Amino acid sequence: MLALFIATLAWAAPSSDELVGMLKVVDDRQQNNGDWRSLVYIEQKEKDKSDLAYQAAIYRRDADDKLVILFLKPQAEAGKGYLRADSNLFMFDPTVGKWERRTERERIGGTGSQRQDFDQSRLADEYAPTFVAEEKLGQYTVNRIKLAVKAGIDVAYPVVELWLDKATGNVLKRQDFAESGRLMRTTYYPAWNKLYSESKKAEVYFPKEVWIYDEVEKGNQTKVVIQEVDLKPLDPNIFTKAWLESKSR
Amino acid sequence: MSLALALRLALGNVRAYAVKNLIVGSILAFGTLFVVTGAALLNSLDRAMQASVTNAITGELQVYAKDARDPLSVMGDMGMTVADIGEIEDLAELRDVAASVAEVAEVIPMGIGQSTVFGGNDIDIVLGELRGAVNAGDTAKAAALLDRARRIASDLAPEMDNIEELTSDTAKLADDRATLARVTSDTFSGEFAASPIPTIDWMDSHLAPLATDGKMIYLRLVGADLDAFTRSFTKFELVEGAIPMRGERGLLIPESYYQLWMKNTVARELDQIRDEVRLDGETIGITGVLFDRVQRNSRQYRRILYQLDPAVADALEPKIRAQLGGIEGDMATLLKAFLAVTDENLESRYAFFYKEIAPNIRLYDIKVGDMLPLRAFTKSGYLKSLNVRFAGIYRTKGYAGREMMTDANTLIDLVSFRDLYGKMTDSQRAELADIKASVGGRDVGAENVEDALFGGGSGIESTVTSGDGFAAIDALSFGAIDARVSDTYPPEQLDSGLALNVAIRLRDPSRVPEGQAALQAAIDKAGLPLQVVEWRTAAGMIGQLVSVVQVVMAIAVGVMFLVSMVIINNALVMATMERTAEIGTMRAVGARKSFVVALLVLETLLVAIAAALVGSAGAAALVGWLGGVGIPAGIDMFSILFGGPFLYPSIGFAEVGLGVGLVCAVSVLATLYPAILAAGVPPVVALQSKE
Repeated sequence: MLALFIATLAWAAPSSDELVGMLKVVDDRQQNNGDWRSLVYIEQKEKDKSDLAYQAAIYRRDADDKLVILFLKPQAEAGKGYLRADSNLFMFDPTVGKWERRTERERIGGTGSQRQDFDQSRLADEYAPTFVAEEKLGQYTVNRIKLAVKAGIDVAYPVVELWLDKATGNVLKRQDFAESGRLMRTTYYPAWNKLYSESKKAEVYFPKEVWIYDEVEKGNQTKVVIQEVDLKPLDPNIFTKAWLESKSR
Repeated sequence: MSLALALRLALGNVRAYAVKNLIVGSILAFGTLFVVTGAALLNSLDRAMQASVTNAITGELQVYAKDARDPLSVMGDMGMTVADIGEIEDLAELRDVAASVAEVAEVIPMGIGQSTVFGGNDIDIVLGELRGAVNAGDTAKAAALLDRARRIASDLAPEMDNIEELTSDTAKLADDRATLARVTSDTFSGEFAASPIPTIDWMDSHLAPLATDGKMIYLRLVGADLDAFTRSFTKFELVEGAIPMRGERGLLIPESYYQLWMKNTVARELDQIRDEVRLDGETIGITGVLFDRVQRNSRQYRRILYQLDPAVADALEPKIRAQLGGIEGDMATLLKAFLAVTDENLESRYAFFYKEIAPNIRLYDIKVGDMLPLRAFTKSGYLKSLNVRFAGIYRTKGYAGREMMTDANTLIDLVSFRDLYGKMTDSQRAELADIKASVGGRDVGAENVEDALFGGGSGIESTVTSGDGFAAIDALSFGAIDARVSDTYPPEQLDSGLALNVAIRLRDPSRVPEGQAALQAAIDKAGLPLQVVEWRTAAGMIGQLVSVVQVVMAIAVGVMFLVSMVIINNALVMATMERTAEIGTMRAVGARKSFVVALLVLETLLVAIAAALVGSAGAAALVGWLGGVGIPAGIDMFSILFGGPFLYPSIGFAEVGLGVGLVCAVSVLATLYPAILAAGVPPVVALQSKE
């Protein structure tokens, strides 16, 4: 009994500042001070439908909050793309030569993935955390944290729960909730890769694989595999509409 | 001998009981009138509904997959989802089978789906045009468009004060105000001239989001061999443009849908307000629903203002001011006041609007000849886009309505439909398999995901090196847009390949069940996994409505008929039983029972034939008159069922024969029972009853 009491005293829930600190670690690890580009594979499985599979190049300039997604394969989709600029997400379709402003909830290429899955992590800026519990996730001990969006921030989901690996601080699981409290999707990050960045003078973390399960349309799932990453500086022209258009001339 | 005698006696009795027979005959005549008129209306409605639906889109029969998950609904239903009706994998096979069926006159391949049209808000549209003008080097046009964008920004600036009262996000509000201040500043034109495209990019992401969202246009697509469709469906009527030839891509939008969803919302509302005043006798007044609509429309003035080029706006301003009696204020104030129409000035403002303002705005979001960027989710889940030319506007004769959108099917050539439907080809499937194989990996279902992904505990972090495949990616170019999709296609593609459903026109539209049975038998014999349904089933909600209306009408006619028969029966029973004494006398002088019964039946039959002929003549006159003036549909839904705003019934020998036959048969049956009863009364008793 005394031992239990001592153990309870020894373990205390992380403070608010500590929780924000955890989120900042997650954000900082994924942020590169310079540019970022990656080659990703996106696979979508939907009930009663053929599988979809894309290969896309992702270009990021975190300092300017800019993001470009350029679809490379399959051939019929090649040249399609997204551009995030100043809180706007634009989609370009070369078949019709048109741009269109899309929302944060845009299903990238019709898959279960969204802009936030490819963009830099801004959890500490966008959400306020509260501690839920310490739990086990498979073999791992995790801190379960609930996040509520801060006022005036436009995000895909206003409420999020995170399962952070206690040992490494990495996100292992994430659940996104609608305003009503309805669970919308569950995402798993089973492994994280680290790559040294010259511009950051530190390692940049990125998930090796992302598994997204649709909780509304049960049976629909998306797998994202980040195949290659390069952190060398990018041409600023990449983050323009003209660059994406130029790929289809 | 006895028949001649019976006939002579019967004629004599008819004359002898002239008053009584006149009354009975009148009842019978009215009964006949009801029956014949009811049958004529029912048959006319059935013919009108069949013609209305089969000549509009369904054909007499439709063929689709046997294993379809949902029932076919060619004319659509209330939901926004598209039914999964399976596929007809190869049209050529079905064409061959149909050619062997004598009843089949024509085969029209189809497909049903939906798409949206790429769009944007008012500023997006201006900026899109501005980008085009800059890229084309048209500096004059670019200057005018930039001026228009700046005017929009000026108009939005006061809105920020309203937003300030509603929002707690002061930082965003400050950013938005700064954006508007920058765009409206004197130096902005200089900034634009120095670097036009980056400035447009900046306006795209800062200025355009400040306008309200643009309109999303949904299209219910019916893919078809347009040449066969427009030739075969006689209710099709081209209003504007041209029907795409075989081998040409194109789409045809129904007029009512075009007016309702693609017209400038202020103009459309003005049209509807005027219609309610002129056609429905409503008044705007100073309160009430119509007044509120006018006020709401007035607040939508930006839908006009944002589309006016500055030079045009300057020229219009004094004219609008004059219309308003010289009131003060800027263009926004003037437009707002102009649109606040009253009963007194509605006609003059309406005329002014269409004479002076409408020619200077985009009255419709799209116009015939435009290339429409369509977007749809394909069968395999990809988001597919395709530019298809807006070839024309059509109407389905008799389907136009004000209260509801009765005609919602956008017709598109079958080849473009197939592109948007996006059934994966073998080569696409192979490409997909290659992409998947290049990554490898495992599949993990949701049910055991946590064990599969985190059960091993083999470490989470790994260190990797920089990728080296990006030089090749940077050099990639995917080819010009125009090179990917051609405006034309080989016309023979319409004869084979994929369709989702097929309309069948029969040589004899009155032999639908026979045609259905023959075609289904031929399809089954050929081993095709397809089903044949008749037009009512295929039409969807409208078809169900047709069936409901038919049942209701049949019940109504049936009730009328029954009531008539009961009255006839009562009248005849009473008339016969009243003659018990007379029958007793006849029996006393030696008439046999059968002779008495035959005599009474003959008398009734003579009266019934005469009455039925009079009743039928009355019915013919009534139906003839209704056929001349028409029965008004009243509501739009009935106009679809009637095939137009009026039902023009007609009458034929069949209905007259049916009425005369039924009334005579019922009269005979109604006489038979009391006649037998009366004939069965012993003469002594019958004669006593006379005393």
